Amino acid sequence: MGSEARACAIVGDALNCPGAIGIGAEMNSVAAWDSLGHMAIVAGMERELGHALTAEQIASITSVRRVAELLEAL
Amino acid sequence: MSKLVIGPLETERFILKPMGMLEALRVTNRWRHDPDILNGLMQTSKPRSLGHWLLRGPLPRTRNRFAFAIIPKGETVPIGAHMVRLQGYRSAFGTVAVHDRNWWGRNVVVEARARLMNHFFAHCGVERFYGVVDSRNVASIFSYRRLGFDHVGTWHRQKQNPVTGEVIDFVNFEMFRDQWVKGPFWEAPDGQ
Repeated sequence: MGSEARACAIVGDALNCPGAIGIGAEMNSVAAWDSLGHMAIVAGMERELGHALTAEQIASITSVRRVAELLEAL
Repeated sequence: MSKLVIGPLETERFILKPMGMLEALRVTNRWRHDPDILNGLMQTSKPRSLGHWLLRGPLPRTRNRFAFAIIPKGETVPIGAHMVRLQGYRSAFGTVAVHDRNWWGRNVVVEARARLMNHFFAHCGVERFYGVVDSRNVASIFSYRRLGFDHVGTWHRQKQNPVTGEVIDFVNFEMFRDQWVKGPFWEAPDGQ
């Protein structure tokens, strides 16, 4: 599975709407993307990667595309 | 800076009621023993004494620190509080906590902070809001990014949690007035 598909899956699962999140989704465009959802996204990424994200990485997450970029780079 | 008088502010779901020292102490007193809130505000779950809270807690001062109770419309009991501290150089800093867990994950902070930023940018000469957040306080980071704040820097190994020993990084956010008024949360006051 590519990084974009993995990002969509992680964010969809975190926001309890699996399959409904596309690569173009952003925190400002998805109603379910609230603070608890954001925490679940970070936790999902750290589970996927097997290590904690850095401060800069956490602070940079505002979109599914950014999640994909981080998954690709890490 | 002369004394500012601020009346209650209204959002879609909340009344932001200005509080004096005694009321703010009453509303936030439980925070001194709430590990989740203490971790968010002070990066430790160690309970705080009343004396410490009076000196270092998020309480109002006459001229430059303001506290607002966050009260759902139609109710009387605050679910949290938001403080704003004005600096003499036209910057402002906010501190917020929602102690009612039923409201977590419901964008309370985004809604309340947006209203306060509109007010302070419009009426109080503020040119910049900034925030300094524990990098593991993901909920707080979310609220800053959701409001459009820029991540402008990181302090690495800035503090240590005295309870867990964890070394903590901080992330810095800022938002300038001219940037805010172009964004989706700006609501121009009458006559502007």
